[in-house]
This record gives sequence, C-alpha cells and structure tokens, in this order.
Amino acid sequence: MENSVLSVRHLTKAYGHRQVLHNVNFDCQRGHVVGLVGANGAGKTTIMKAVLNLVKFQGVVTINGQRVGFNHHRELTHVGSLVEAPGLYPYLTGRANLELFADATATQAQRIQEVSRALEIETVLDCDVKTYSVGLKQKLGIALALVNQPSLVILDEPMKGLDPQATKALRELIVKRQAAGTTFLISSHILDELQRIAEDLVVINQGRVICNTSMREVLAQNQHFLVIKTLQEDQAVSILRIAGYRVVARHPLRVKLRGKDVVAQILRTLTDHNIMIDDVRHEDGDLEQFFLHMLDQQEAQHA
Amino acid sequence: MLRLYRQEMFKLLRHRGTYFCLVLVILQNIGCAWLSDLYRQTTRTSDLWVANFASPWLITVIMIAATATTIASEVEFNTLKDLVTQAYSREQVLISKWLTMLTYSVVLYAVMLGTTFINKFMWPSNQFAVTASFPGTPSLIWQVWLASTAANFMTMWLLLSVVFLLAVKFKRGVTAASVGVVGYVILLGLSRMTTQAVDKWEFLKWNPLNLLNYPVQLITIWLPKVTHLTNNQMFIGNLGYILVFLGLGLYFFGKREV
Repeated sequence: MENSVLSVRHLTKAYGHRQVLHNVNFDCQRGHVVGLVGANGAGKTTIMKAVLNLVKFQGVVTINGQRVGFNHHRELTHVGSLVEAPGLYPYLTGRANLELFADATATQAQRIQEVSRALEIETVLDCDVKTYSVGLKQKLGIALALVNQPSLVILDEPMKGLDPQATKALRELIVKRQAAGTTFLISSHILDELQRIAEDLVVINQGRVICNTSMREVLAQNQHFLVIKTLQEDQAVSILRIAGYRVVARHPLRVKLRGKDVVAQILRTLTDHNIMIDDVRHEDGDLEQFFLHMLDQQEAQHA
Repeated sequence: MLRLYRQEMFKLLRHRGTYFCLVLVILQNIGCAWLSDLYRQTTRTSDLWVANFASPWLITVIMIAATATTIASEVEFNTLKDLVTQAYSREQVLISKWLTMLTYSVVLYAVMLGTTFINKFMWPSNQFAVTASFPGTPSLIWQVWLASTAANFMTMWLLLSVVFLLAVKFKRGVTAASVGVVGYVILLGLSRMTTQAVDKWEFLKWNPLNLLNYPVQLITIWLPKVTHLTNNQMFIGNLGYILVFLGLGLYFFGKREV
C-alpha cells in the first residue's frame, strides 16, 4: 500500500521444528496506531522481532518502501523499539543511556529533555540505572524508543510495570506523536488502554492473523446493553420479556439493545407497570469482549 | 560504523573499571620494580625491565575479562537488541567492539611502556645502559624491550581472538570473564607442555599453544630448537590464527538471533 510505513507479507518463522508464525500479512498506515493483540505465545513478540530483524524469518518486511533483511536493515534508522524488557546499561545514568543512542545532532539535548519530561523521568535522569525501579526502567526504555523521533515505533507491552499516572503520560505522548505523523505498532494485554489509542487492530492466534480490522469496526460490531437498576428486578424481567425485549441478565438487569429497540420505550414499558427505576446506564461491548469472542470462534472452528 | 565505535568507546570510558585497571597496571609495574630493586642481589633487573615487570601478564588478564564482558554483558543487560536494531549489521557491531578493545589494549600497553620507562630512572638498580647488549642475544636492551613487548601484544591478541569467538556463546559477563581468565592460566601451562609433543610430531609446531611462546623466544636464543619455529614463522603463525579466530567469531556473530 502506498501510504504504508510497515508492510509485512507472508511472514513465516520456525524455531527448530516448532512453527510459530504462519503466513502473517498486515500493514501499518502512516500516522496510525496499530494494536497487535493475542494470547500469550500467540506470536506477537516474534512478529516484532522479525520486523526489527532480531530473528531470521521467511517472507517480506518493508519499512518506508524499503525491504529489510536479517543483516541489511538501513531503514531501521527510522524505527524506535522496545521489545520484551528494556535494554539498559546499569552502570550508566539514564541520561547517558539516552545520549548513547540519541542521534548526535544539534537537537540531541532538546530531544532528551522533551521525551524525559513527557515520561516524567527528568528528576532521576542523572542517577545510575541500577538504582531504578522496574517502572522507571520501563519508562527509560520507552524514552529510548522515542528519543530519535522515528517514523515507526514498535512497543511490546509498553504499559507493563507502569502506574496509572505513567500510563496516562505515555498515552498522551503516543497521541501527540501520532498527531505529528508517527506510526505505532503496539502489543498489549491491557486491552482497555489499547482500545483508547489504537485505530487499527491485528489479532493473532497461534501464529496466524485471525482478524485485521479497524477499532471503529470492532466497536461497531460489539453488542450494546441497557443496564437498569431497580428493586423490582424479577417483576421488571417478566414485563420486559412479555413486551418482547431480550433480557440477558437479572442482577443487575441487563437488556440487549437490538437495532429496533428504543431506550425511551423500554423505560416507558417499565414505568407504565409502576416499576421504580433507580438508575439507568448504557454498556457497550469493548475490545476485550471482541478479542475473547474471536478466540472462542477460533476454538469452535477447530473443535 | 564510526558511530558504533563511538558508542563502544563511550561505554568503556564511562565504566569505572576501565580507570581502575589503568591504575592497577601502573601500581603493579611500580611495585614489581620496587621489589626488583629490593632484591637486586638475586635478580637481573635488566631482564625484569625488558619484561615490563610482568605487566603484560596482568594486561592480558584485564583484556580477557574486558573482551569477554564486552559481548556477554550485552546479552546480560538485554542491550544487544539496541545495538543490532540500529542501521548496522551484526558484523559491524562486532568489528566496532574489536576496534574498541584494540584501542583499550594499546592504551594499556602505552601506559605500561611509559611506567616501565619511568622506572628506569626511579630505582638505583635500574641504572643500566639501554644501549648495552642484552645478555644471550645479539640485540641491544632497548631493542629486545620493544620487540618482546610487541610479541606479547601479539600473543595477547591471539588469546583475545579466541575469547571473541567464545564470548558469543556466553550470556553473563562475569561467567565469560571468569572462564576466559581461568582458561588463559591453563593455556599458559599447556603451552609449555606442548613443546614435548612438538619434538615427537613436527606438524604440531603450528598449534596455537606453541605460538604463545613467541615473546619468550625473542629473549631466549635457544628456544627455536624447542618450538621448531623461527621468529618470522611465529609472527606469521600468530597473525594467521588471529585472523582465523576473529573471522570465525564474525561468522557466528553475524548469524546470531537475539
């Protein structure tokens, strides 16, 4: 694709006799955040390692239109990454670690300052990395991936070990960089975080892409519910069922909203029968629900 | 490539151990010179001076540890990924490490030579003329000093080329350094023992252990009869093995998955 920063075609990888990736194909469009989702051992990290040429593979990986190979990957100049645990020199300070890999241009100090401020590690930047907590190391690893302002950033479980404040800071930084045109490929098990930032989604199961779609489509496909709080739950369930609505849970009372269902009519049906309603809220299916549904479907197919 | 070399030098210069080893070499050299002066009645000080007061042995141990660590610690710290995901090939990454270790070894040897030279003027027992003949050889003392230093440097690199080859397999810096240093001590013992085998089987004269005798041969005029190699053959043999071992290390490192 013309606007594709990363293109993966027929990616296959085996460790010895164990096939871990089977004909994986997907693209990352410029300025998009792509979520790579899969269960443990599905092959997410191996895909990232193949793209970064850390492992040998069969297939074609193209970055900014240039094909990259195991020992020929000049295009990786434009890629920042954090795969598995952050790689840091413990005897160096955080700043020295950043200086080591930051391009030695006139803006080096400014870039280091900017990324460390965004990730809130400025105050510890001059301490030796061996004194850092797990979360701080993770933040510094992310800072290393971003410090050269690459056009493609690959992050494997970036929220791992981060507190809610740091997670929020990272989310804001990703959104800011994305707005500036940076493409992100992010794997994460924290699906609600991924749902907030990813525009495209690649679902992997047992080394195969089982779904390649946009987040908007995922959420549109999901089910919507009306959750009603009342002290007369049993009565309300009977009334709604007689009226033809689909009640899927009793405690709390949850009604599945189908295309023809109108919320006002559901509520009127209840109030007409003197049901006292304490609270009403909408509940939408999320990425987690979609992901689990996809896996269930796969299992059912293989059963 | 220059960037990789700069990165390696940056790491080396930021490591406290780098400076500690430099100071250690100076102290060991001066300490041995002081001892030789103390026991001047029983030692020939010009021999010790020519041998740089045994500092090449210490430097070899330091360099084996540094070389083993420079690769193994990248695996230990998970930083090998950072290096190979830059725009350079694995071969270039390894060559930058060779060049860094070469720089460090040259600096250590320069410091050693400088300290040995200063010792010449510090101790009363070292007041011999460097332009005098070195006992048992046709060469002058200063010539033997520089030639044996160069030979020591070369045999050290023969060992380092093996360490570079083996270090690819280690995952912890401390383990790699320990195995390297212990292996060096064992090899030194074996190199003396192989001379008997060389007497029996001529082709064994080209084994790398026999080539470790090169520095001793330069100051021991009868040693070629034992090693069955001339000084020139020793030089060529050392150089050849260094290139072969470095080449093999390059080949295996170039195929390494991270």
